[in-house]
Amino acid sequence: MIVSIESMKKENNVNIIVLADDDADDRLLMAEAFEENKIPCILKFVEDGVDLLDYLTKKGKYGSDCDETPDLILLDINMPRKDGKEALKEIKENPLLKHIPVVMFSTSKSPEDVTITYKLGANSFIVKPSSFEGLLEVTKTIQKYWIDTVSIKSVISY
Amino acid sequence: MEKDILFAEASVKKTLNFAYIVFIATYLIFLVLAFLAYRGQLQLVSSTNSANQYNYFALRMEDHMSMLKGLDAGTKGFLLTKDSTFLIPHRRAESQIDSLLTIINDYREGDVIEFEEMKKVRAISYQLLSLQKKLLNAPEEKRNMLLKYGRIKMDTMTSIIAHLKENKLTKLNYYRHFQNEAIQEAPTFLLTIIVVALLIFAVAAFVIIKFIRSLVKIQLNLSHKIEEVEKANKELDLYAFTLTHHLQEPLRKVRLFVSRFVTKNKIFFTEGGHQEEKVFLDKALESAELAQKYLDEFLDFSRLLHHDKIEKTAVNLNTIINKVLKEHHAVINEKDADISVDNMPIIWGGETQMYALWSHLFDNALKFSHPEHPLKIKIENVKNENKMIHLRISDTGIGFDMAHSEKIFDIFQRLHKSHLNKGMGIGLAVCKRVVEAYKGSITVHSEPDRGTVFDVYFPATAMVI
Repeated sequence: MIVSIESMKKENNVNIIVLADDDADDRLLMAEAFEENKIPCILKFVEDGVDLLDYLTKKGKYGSDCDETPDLILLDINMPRKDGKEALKEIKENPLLKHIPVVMFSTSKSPEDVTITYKLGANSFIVKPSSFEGLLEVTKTIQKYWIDTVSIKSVISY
Repeated sequence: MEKDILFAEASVKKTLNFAYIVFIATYLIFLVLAFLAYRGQLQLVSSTNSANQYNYFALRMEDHMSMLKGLDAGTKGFLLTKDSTFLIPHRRAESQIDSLLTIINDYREGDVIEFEEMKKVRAISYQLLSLQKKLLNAPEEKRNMLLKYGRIKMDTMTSIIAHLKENKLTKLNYYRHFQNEAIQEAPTFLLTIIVVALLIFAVAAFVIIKFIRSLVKIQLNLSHKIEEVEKANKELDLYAFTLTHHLQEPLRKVRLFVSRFVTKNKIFFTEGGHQEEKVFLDKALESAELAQKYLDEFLDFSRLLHHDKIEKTAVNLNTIINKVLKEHHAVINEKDADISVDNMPIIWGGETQMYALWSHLFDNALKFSHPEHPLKIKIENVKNENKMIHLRISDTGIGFDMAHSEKIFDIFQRLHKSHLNKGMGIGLAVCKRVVEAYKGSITVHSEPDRGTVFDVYFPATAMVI
């Protein structure tokens, strides 16, 4: 069912950003940074690739009562069960999900990881900062670019 | 392992000496065998020859005697019948005596006594021939005398021929005796020699095989040990890599949470004026940052070590050095360094490795500048006759005492304490590893206060253009 952009905005005005990261500290710090910057969005967390895919396809513990689709995915690479690369591949191969921008968010600096994830369809690659100031910068940039500048609101709803 | 090698060396010498002796002995035995075989063959040939000679002589003499007897019979027949057909032997006699000459010729260079006797035989033969001719025309009263004379001559000749035959038979028997002796003795002798040779060979083979076995064992032992060492090295590499990797996360968290603590309590630190307390936290942050930097550098070094994973391409060193210069742009300006770069070659290698090499070398030249002298850095492509790639980077920096030149390429070595914070002393170790990974070499020449020269050599095979 195709709905107009106007109605979408009325129904769903706030951006939803989901962070997939198995590290509870990183999730906490990201929440802290979003809060500190007062970024106008809903930040959601999943703990690994399996969780992320369940959330996106509304399966498992994210059953029927959840019908939201995130506007941006922040995706860690090294995660148990299903890692960032696998999750990214599945998202970009799924016609229902591949329109959602994915920003890789990893400690890895290796050129291979960067190249592979871009090849798989990642929209950005951000190396996790080592200081909170750095994290504040990154979250501010995410806000500026993905929320304030570009238009990412889904035009298709199911 | 060293004991093994020493043992191997000693036993190689011993066994080689043994092998030489065996080979020389065997060679001599074969020489003796060859000589014996040759002598046996010679005896066989001369014995056969003398047998043939005897047979030929006997036949010839028989023919000769029968010819003379025929001559005698012909004369007697003619005298009785006056029939000229009895004279046919006379006509042929002269040429038949001449054919005897050919046998005499055989003796010219041989036995002197035999030759003389054969000459006597010929002379008597001619005398007998003329006697027979005289008999044909002689008056009757003279015939008896002539016949008697002929009888005597004939007997003389028969006895000479008999003597000659006897002589030849003695010779033949003499050779036969030798031949028999040789035939009887040779097999035992040859057999003995062959058995001895075979025994020596068997012993030699046993010793050599035993020796080769022990060498193989040592070889296997060594390769096992090398394998173990390589495995242990790889494991250590992996441990170091994993440990460094794992340490990075907690360090990052320390920095994140401490800085979060500071930002969350900004008011407490700035407006509350608790600057002293903040200094402690800043120090903690700095230390964590330094530790992280060390880990980062070590990880880079570790990655460079695994060069089997590195993809090799044609790397233009001009591009690499330009990139390095761009990277150090700020410091170059700050130090007002005078930099000159030759036209560099294109090398077959890993781009990251080449970048690391030149970045560290350049960094080194830039970092250790002299406080009083202007800094000049020269990167040269040195032409040489060996077709090797010879590249040089020289600076006018503080230099160092060549007594430390061995240590300079070791990992975690720092010659200048004042530069403690500028790295963990991994740069030149990286350079050495990279160059050695390409089967090249790197050398350094330095003098305190005069500057440092690094010479980098790559084999000609690394050259693309």
